[in-house]
Amino acid sequence: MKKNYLLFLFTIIYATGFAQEPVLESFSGTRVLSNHSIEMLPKRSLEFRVSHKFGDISGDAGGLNNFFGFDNLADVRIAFEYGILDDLDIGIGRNKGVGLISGVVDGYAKYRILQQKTTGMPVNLVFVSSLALPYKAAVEDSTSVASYPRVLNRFRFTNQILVSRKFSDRFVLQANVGYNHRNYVDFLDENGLFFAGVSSRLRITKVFGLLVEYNHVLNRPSAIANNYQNPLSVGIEILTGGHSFILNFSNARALNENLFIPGTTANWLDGQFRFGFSINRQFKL
Amino acid sequence: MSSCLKDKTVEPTPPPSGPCADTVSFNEELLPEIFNLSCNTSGCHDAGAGSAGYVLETHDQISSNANVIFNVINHDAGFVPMPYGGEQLADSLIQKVDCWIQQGKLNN
Repeated sequence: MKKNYLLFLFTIIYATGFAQEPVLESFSGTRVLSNHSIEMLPKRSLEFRVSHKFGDISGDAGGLNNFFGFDNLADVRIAFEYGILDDLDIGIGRNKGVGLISGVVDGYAKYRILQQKTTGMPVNLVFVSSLALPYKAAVEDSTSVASYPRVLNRFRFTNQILVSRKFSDRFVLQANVGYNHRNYVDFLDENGLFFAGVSSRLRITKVFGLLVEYNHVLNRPSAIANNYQNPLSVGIEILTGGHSFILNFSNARALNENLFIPGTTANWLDGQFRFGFSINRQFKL
Repeated sequence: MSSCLKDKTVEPTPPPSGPCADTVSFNEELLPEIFNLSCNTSGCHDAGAGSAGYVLETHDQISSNANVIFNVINHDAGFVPMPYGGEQLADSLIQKVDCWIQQGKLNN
């Protein structure tokens, strides 16, 4: 009788523990398309990332003459990212950059506050803080955003909170709110920009999935609002035995959130969208 | 964050407006429209005659005498009005010389 009671107790404990398993693989990597996802790197794993974005597929700078953008490189980022803990990642990267903001070093720290569980916790909650600075020599024209009178003027920061829920194996929804601060902007622009975004992953078949990522800048000054676009990316995900290939189409030229949140000018409606992809390799240290 | 700055770029000065908004071209405007037609014609301020000691055929010769040239074509008091014995140049041409001097007597 006593034996049976103990067995019953173990079953209960095991079943409860099992029921609170973390919900894994909301996204296939630490980025949805360009921006961060709620996914973290496993503890003590180093990820080497090489990300590319090509030139405009169509529009004035695209078409057959530029082989639909493949002749041009919009941005490339080479980065090392590391999972210190299961819930804490850091990363450092170097971006080609876009336009006047070129030769950009970036770094980030990312902390998972809450993790979705099969019962109990319904969502993931992650905080990401990043900074970027272009290190190339300042230009002399003091009306240029690349004239940087002080060294600190080069810095830009982005803090974001990501919330996501994996509703089923087929459907994941992520929302994010954030604040981007640039220490030096055009005289008509705002140093601090608030933004909100939504991302989703929809698996259509076992092999194919659809990804969407959109960020909306909330307080761009109206005088220059027409010069900027909100970054919208659409991706096709192909899952093949342990690997995930993501074909990314985006109007944003830059790869780092400190550049593409405040600085996207390309317009989908003018054909100014491009192909992008990422090659990632994880090393267990 | 103490490192957050609110710095902005210098506001660009508006482009110049008024009569001298466009840069006057010496070689395409001043020389053919004024000097070759009304000044360095044969027997006047050409290299052969050099009337009153002024030869006005090259940028060097014209720019070094620019102020006197403006005075005489503008028919300022105390100067011999030019073109000598002819009608005063059109106002738009005199304006071009004035602008060209203000813009630094460019050889452009």
